[in-house]
Formats: sequence, structure tokens, C-alpha cells
Amino acid sequence: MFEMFAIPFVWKALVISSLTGAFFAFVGVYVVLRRIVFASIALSQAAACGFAFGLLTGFNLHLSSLAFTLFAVIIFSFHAEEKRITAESFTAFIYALFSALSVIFLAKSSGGEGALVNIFSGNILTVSNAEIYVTAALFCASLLAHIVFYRKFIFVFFDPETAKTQGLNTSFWNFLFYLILGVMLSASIKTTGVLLSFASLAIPAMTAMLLFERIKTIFAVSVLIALVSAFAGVYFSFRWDLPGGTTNAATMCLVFVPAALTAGIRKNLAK
Amino acid sequence: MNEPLIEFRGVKLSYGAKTVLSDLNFSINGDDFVGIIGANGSGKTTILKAILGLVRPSGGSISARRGVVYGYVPQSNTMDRVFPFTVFDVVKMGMYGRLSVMKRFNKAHAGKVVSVLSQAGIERYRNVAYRDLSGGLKQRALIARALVNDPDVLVLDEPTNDLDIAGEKSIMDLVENLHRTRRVAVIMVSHLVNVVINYVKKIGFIDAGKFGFHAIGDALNETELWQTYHSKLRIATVFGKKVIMPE
Repeated sequence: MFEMFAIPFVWKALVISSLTGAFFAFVGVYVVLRRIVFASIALSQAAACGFAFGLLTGFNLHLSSLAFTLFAVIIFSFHAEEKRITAESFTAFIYALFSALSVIFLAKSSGGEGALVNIFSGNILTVSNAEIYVTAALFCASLLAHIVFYRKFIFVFFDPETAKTQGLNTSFWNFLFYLILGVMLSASIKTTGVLLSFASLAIPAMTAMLLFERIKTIFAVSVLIALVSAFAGVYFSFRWDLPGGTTNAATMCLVFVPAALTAGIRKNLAK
Repeated sequence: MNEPLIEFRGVKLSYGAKTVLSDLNFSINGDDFVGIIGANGSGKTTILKAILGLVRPSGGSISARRGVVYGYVPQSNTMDRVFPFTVFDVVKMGMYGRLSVMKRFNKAHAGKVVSVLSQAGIERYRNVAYRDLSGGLKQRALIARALVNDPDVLVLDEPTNDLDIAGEKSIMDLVENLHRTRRVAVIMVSHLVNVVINYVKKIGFIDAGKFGFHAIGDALNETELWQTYHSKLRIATVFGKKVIMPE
């Protein structure tokens, strides 16, 4: 069963999808709790747009993706409250803007159609060693930042007003959160694609929150679900010749269904 | 020790070009228990935010005694129910602003959390999810969180909102008890004048953008209430307690 993992491109696919999946599933707990799931897909789309811009202009793909993502991070972190437009409507605007630009950039670049599919569903089976090293280094740095600043993030996200009264700069912590997320998204968009990034940010955290009540357990289970899905995604995509990232995302959805049923049954029994 | 904890001198508070309150001159001392009363939208919360440093004055100056520690108690319904924190987690969070990032949350910190939970009368709920608590217990948890840093002044925003009459009394009794036993100054805003008048030592009415504190006996007259609420209200005494009712 496991001999396939001796093949270099298969184990590389497993490593990259485990690293990115674990990180996005961890950060996804904050994303779901803060109700910014759609901001995360808009950020993913910004990263993809930068990638498309790189394809069109010949700029370095990762740097181009990073620049577009940082632009979106700044918009999300500092846009002023506007009573007449809800935050989710604003997110829809950002998503639509970067989606439209992505398609325009790809339409004008050579090999646009194939790249469009890759940007959406990723390509975890063509990962280079350099990409693994860069992703691993960013994963370690990002996770370390989240562990060190855990208390600040939790306080600022749960009760920003009280956090401010204790001298915490909520705008700074908000920006740092989006910045870390944006850097990881731009680093992984070529391999994971918009779909898997978005699925990893939302579904493992949602599943864990349905099953558990304690925040630390939710973080751990969310990461575990992402790791299991990464393994299943690579295994089934190799076995049945399916697209890797999409299979990984589908596995996350499959895990969510029994979790939702279990939570529903438990709720009814408790009544 | 006679130096005021907080002092407003000719303060003007504005949102953009719109002035909400002007010419605010008052001080809060270490033994004060004050209530800020006003109709909805009169600027009560703006004064509170200015005291906490969340709103900067557009005129005048606000000074606070060096090292003064605030214990802020927001309205319990402003916290999102989706966050899966226990009561212990929520109270512990009160220390997060002051703990440096490299410092561990140790046994002494945990002991402090248990101690304030006990003072707020909710130690047995420490492992219960905060979101599953009643309104009164949530308010107690937030008061415990405010106490965890040993504040000089407790600042409460509408602490009895959404509570039934027993809940209102229970919270106000707790605040009064903390004021007495911990010698902590208390500033609270409320639109429920009936709840506040029998507890506070000084009361401040917001009236057409003006504000000032008065000793409770001096201030409470029907003219002041008319100016604040623009409605005819009567003051009566029932079993030794002041009651305000519409005419």
C-alpha cells in the first residue's frame, strides 16, 4: 500500500500538502471563529492573480504572487469601517476584482487555459525540492509566530475593545495575522491552488468545532484532519489517477459529513 | 494619595466634525463609586471610552495618575458566541495584555484566576463554556476578568443590560461589595437610572452635551431628570430605596 511513497514526486506531494494543509487548518480555526472565511478565499484569489500576472509579464511567479497578496492584506487590515457596506460585501468586491484580473491576465498569456486550471486546483504532483524547502521554512516561521503570539491573537480576536484598554494595538495584530496568512498563501498557491487553500482554511476547523468544545483540542483536531486528508488525497489521486489537490479537498468534505451527523445526533440526544 | 486617579480638564469629545460632548471638567478619586446616566445616544459610552483612552479628546486634556490600572467590563453580549472558551479561559485572557510574549502562564497566574473567580462567585463554573452561561453569569465572568490585574478602577459599560430584576440586583451587589472590600474605584454607565441610584455615591447626568458629577442627594431631582430624559419622571422612596417612575 505504501510503496508508492518511495516514488519521489509522490512523497514530495505528500510533504507539501501536509505542510500547507496543517498550517492552513491551524490558522483556519481563527478564520472560522472570526467569520472571515470569505476574506481567506479573496486572499487566495489575490495570490492566484499575482501568479497569473507573473505568467503574463515574465516576472518571478512567487514574488508577483506575494506582491498581489500583500496588497490585499493591506486592504483587508486597514480598510475603514463603512456603515452602508457590510464587510462581506467588501470581501465579495475584492474577490471579484482579483478573479476578473486573473482571467484577463491568463487570457493574454501563453498557455492560459492550462494555467487557469492549475491556479484553481493546484498541482501537488510537480513540486520541486526548492519549493519544499521554501514552504517548510515558511511553515516553521509562521507556526512559530502563531505559537509565540497565541495569547495576543486570541485576546484581540475575541474581545478587541478590552484588548485595546490593555494597550494592545489591535490594528497591528490584525495586520500581522493577515500578513502571515498572505505569505503562506502566496508561497503555496502554485502547488495547492485556490480550491485546496480555501478548503484547508475552512473545512478542518469547521469539522473540529462541530465535534469539540475546547480551543486547544479544536486546533489539534483541525490539523489532524488536514494531515489525514493530505495523505488520503495523495493516496487516492495516485491510485485512481485523480487530481491531487482536488482529491485532498474532497476528502476534507467527506470527513465533515460524518462529523456533522455525529454533532447533530449528539445535540438531539442532549435535548 | 489625594491626587485624582483620572482628571478631565475642559475636554471636548468628537467623532469627526461632530462634537458629542464639550467642556467636561471632573475628576475620579480612588474611593469613588460613580454612575454616568443619560438617554440612549447621549454620549455615555463616549465618556467611558475617553476615560479608557480609546477615544482621544478633540480639545482639553485627560490625565491619569501614573501607573493607574483599569479593569474594563464590556457588555457581555458584545462577545461572539462562536468562540469556544471556558470561563477559566475568558478570565485568564485578562492577563494576556500584560504578560510578555515569552513569559509562561504559570501556577501563580492560575491561582490568581481561581481567586478572582471565587470573588465573583463563579468558581464552580470555571470549566463551563462561557457561551453557555446565563447573562448574569457572563457578566460575573467579565467582572472577574477585569479584577485579575488588580485594577485601581473598575469601568463598567451597562453592566445590567438584558438582566432580569434579580440579575440586576445580584450584579450591583457584587460591584458594591468589590468596591468596599477591594477599595477599587468604580465608574459605570447605564441608561437604567433606577438600578444605579441606590448604589453609587456620585451621579453624573448627560444633558444636551454637558456633564458633571453631583453627590447623589444633591443631583437627584425631577428637574435634572427632565433635562436628561425629556420626560416627566417622579422620584419616590419605597422601603428606604429611591424609585423613579413615569408620571
